[in-house]
This record gives sequence, structure tokens and C-alpha cells, in this order.
Amino acid sequence: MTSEQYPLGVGEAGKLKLRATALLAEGGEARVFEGLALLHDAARAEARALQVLEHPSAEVRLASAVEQCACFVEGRAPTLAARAWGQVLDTARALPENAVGPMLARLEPRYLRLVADFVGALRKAPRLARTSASVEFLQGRELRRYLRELETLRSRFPGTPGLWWSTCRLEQAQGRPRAAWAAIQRAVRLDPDNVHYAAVRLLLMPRALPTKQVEALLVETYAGIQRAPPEVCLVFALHEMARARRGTPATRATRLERALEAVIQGRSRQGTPPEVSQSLHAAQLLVTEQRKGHEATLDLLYRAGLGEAVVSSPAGKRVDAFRFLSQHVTQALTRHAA
Amino acid sequence: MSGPATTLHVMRVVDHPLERLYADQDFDWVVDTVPAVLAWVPAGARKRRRRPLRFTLHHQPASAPVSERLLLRLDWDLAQLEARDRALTERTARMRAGRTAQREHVTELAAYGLALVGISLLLPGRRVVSMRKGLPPDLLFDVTPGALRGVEVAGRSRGGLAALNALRLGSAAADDLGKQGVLRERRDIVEAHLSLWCASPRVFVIAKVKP
Repeated sequence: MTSEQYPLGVGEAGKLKLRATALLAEGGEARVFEGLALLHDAARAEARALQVLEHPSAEVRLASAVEQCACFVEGRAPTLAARAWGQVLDTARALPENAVGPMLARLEPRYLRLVADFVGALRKAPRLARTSASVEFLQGRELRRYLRELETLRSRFPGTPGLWWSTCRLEQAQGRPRAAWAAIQRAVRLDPDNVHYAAVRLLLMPRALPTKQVEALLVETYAGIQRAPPEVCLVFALHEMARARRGTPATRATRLERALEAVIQGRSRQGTPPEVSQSLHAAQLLVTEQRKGHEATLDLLYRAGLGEAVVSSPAGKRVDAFRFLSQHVTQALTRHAA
Repeated sequence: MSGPATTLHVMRVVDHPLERLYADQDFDWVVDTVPAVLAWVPAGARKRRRRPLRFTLHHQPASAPVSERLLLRLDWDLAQLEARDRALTERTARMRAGRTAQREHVTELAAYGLALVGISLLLPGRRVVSMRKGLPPDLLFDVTPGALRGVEVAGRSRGGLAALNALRLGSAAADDLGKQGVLRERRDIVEAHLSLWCASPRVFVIAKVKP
């Protein structure tokens, strides 16, 4: 059965691809990046279009997988293309070889060329592969070499969200919040479904943007809190709690109310990772105490299941329950996204 | 298989103003391709930039053993085009000034634009509804799953009809089916056309290859 929405979905994807090609043809760093991002959008639009079909045939599923993979190949995103290629191979198994061959004739050589380029480039970037989980500890010559490798790889594969995420972490570690913000914005643009990128973006916002913009983004986030992933709910709640601590009594109640709504929303989601779930629980206990005008204590963190994190942290970090939770969440989200 | 072009002493002449595309297709399909057509086609010496641009058009309708040869005169009214796209001049200039990697995209985009010209001329009433990157045909009129209809597009900077025929027919020695062969082998395509363009010499092939 063909849904009426299917032509609209593939039509939207097609227009995104054409617009992307135009931006790539015009050139210029910002336009090229937007062109690559539109190709990522097109891949997602193809996937959505397929979902509206009832019982699509293997041929239709393969055509969609091929198209999604091709968008990532042209979008210079080898890691995402590799994920889509897996889907191509899996779907192709349901079809005879003589049907699959012509459908892969264009994509396969392009995909293999991209992967070979990426593997070759990674071979020339040994520090990037070796130290990607601990960039914050890099210093001196090692840091400069890592930076050079990252920049080279990013210039060749600017559609790879993970490379922008690495850039964000590195800039953050070097105390450059605006550059970190610009990098996380690009990671989010390429992979808007990655909840960790979205949460880290929200986390970095106050360090990079003027207060008015921060407030506007918080309002925007709150407007979508009922659909937001738990990580975003958690970071939003922490922002509001921090602002409530600094703000006037008149605004404090509103901010704490929003923080409570966010943690309740976050805790209601299915399949939340345990560390996020514990932090949401802790945030709920803290905000409840704040609303009563009581001092939040470390006991609340123990009650939420964060006792192990509390006892294994340096004494200086344990002075303030709210600051402890903020730092804990920052570290957890950064580690998870890495 | 493409037959040799018939030799006619007087070729039929067809004129196409580029701005007509805005009437024949949805705005979104036209606005991004026109700057590339302007940037790609008028390359070379001043004489070659003189308008209207003349293309030798080889048109092969369904099941015709040989193609008809026409003279296509492509022209445009810049003021009318700019009324649709205020950034047209800047976009065209950026595409002209592009480096090698960009040029490939300009060629690709121009080939889409010129394919729209071919559709206007020879497949009147057909409207593009989607495009594909990963598998032919590039431009689709009908996206019904398992019953696709569309046009496969290619553009070449040089090589003329020989280069376009090589693209179309492939090479048995290199195990290359060519664009025509791939379209015919695909079970999910019920109607396919080819739109192949060359900038120097200016040649345009449009052929119905399926059914």
C-alpha cells in the first residue's frame, strides 16, 4: 500500500539534495558545510519517507538504503555512510544478485572510495585514534600535533559529526568557549538526533552566548520539553536551578517550577541510561528542597544513588550538592558522547 | 542502442528561453539549476559565448531506430531570471570562480538544469517531483514504489557525441553496462529517458530507453 505521504517525503528529500548540490557548487566554507548538512537532512528525509509505506518490498527498502548511504557519501560523512552501508548489505540479502547489481552500480564504487580515503587519512592521524577519549589531558607538542591531525581530517571529511565533537572538546579544554560552541553547533546540525550533542550544546550555551540569547534558548528548550530527551531535560533543569540560586525571589519560583517540570518529564522517558536517571532523580530531590527554601545537602545525592560518585570525588567538590551534581552531569555527558 | 545521427541538409530549429522552465517546473527545481547552466555552458572564447547558444540535439523517441537531429537555440532574459532569483548574478559568479571540486558539482547541476530544458521541449507536461543521488534515474516524474518514471542525466565538458554515446552504452570490455543498460536491467523502473549534454562541442542527446 502506498501512502499519500510517501511522494511528499521523497519530494522533500529530492529538493534538499538539489539545494545541497547548489551550495556545494557555489563553494565557500560556510555554504559547503550547509550543503553537507542538507545532504544529511536528505538522508533522514528518505528514511522517514520509507516509514510511511506499509510493507515496502525489499527492492523499495534497498533503494531507500542506497539513497540514504549515497547522501552520507556525498555528505563527506564516512562513519554515517558506513552505518547506512550496513543497512544496504542487510536489505540486499533479500534480493537476487541480478537485481542487486544494477542497484549498487553507482553507489558501491563511491562508497568504497570514500572509506579507502577515510582509512588512509586515519592512518596518518595516529594521535586522533589513540587519544580521542582523553583530549583534555593533552599538552604542548602532543596537543599541537593532535590539533593538526584533527584539522586535516576535518577539512577532508567536514560532514563527520564526531570530528566536530572532538573539536568542541578540545576547544573547551583549551578554555575557548566560543570556538567550542561553534563546533558543537556544527555537530548538532549534522546529527540533530544525537541526544548527547544536544545536551552538551545546552550545557555550553551560557559560556559562549550573551545572557539574552541564553534566555531565548532556554525558553525555546522549555517550549519543547515535553518531547525533549532526558539528557536535555536534565541540563535544562540544572540551568534553571543555577539561575534560581542567583536570581531574585520573584523569578526564583518560576525557574524552580520549570526545573521541576523538566526533571519530571525527563524521568518519565523510557530507556533512560542509569547515570542520567540517577542525576535526574538527584535534581528532582534538590529542586524540591530548593522550592521549600531548604538547603540542599549531599544526603540527597546519596538517596538518588550517586553515593559512589560522592565518596570517590575530591573533598573540595563535595562542599555544595548542586555544584557537585552540575560537574558530575557535565563529566558524564562529555564522557558518554565521546 | 543509439543509431547514427541522420544527416539532414536542413535541421529543424527549436528555440528555448531558459525562463520558461519556471512555468514548466516547480520553482525549487529550477532556481538552483539556472545559475549552474549560466556558469557552465558559456565557457570558452567570446565567439562561443554568443547567444543564443546552439546545440546539436539528437532526439530518439521510443523505439525509433535512429535519432532525429535538431538545432536547439538556448537563450535567456537575464532580467526575467533575476526577477525569480535576486542572487542569480552572484551565484553564477561564485560557480564560475569555483575550484576543481566545486566544478564537478557545477557540471552536475547544469546537467540537471539542461535536462529540465529537454523535458520542457520533448516531454511537455512532465514535472519533476524528486531526485536521487545513489541510483538512477536522477530526476523522477513518478516515485510510485516499484514503478518509477524518470530521466537519467549526465553532463560532459568535452568529447561531443562520442563521449555521450560511451556514457550511454558503456563498454563490454570494461564490464560497463552504460547508463542505458543499467536502466533497462532495473526491475523497479517502468519508464526511463536519458538526457546527456556536452559543453564542447555543444551536443545534447535525449532518448527514451525504456519501455
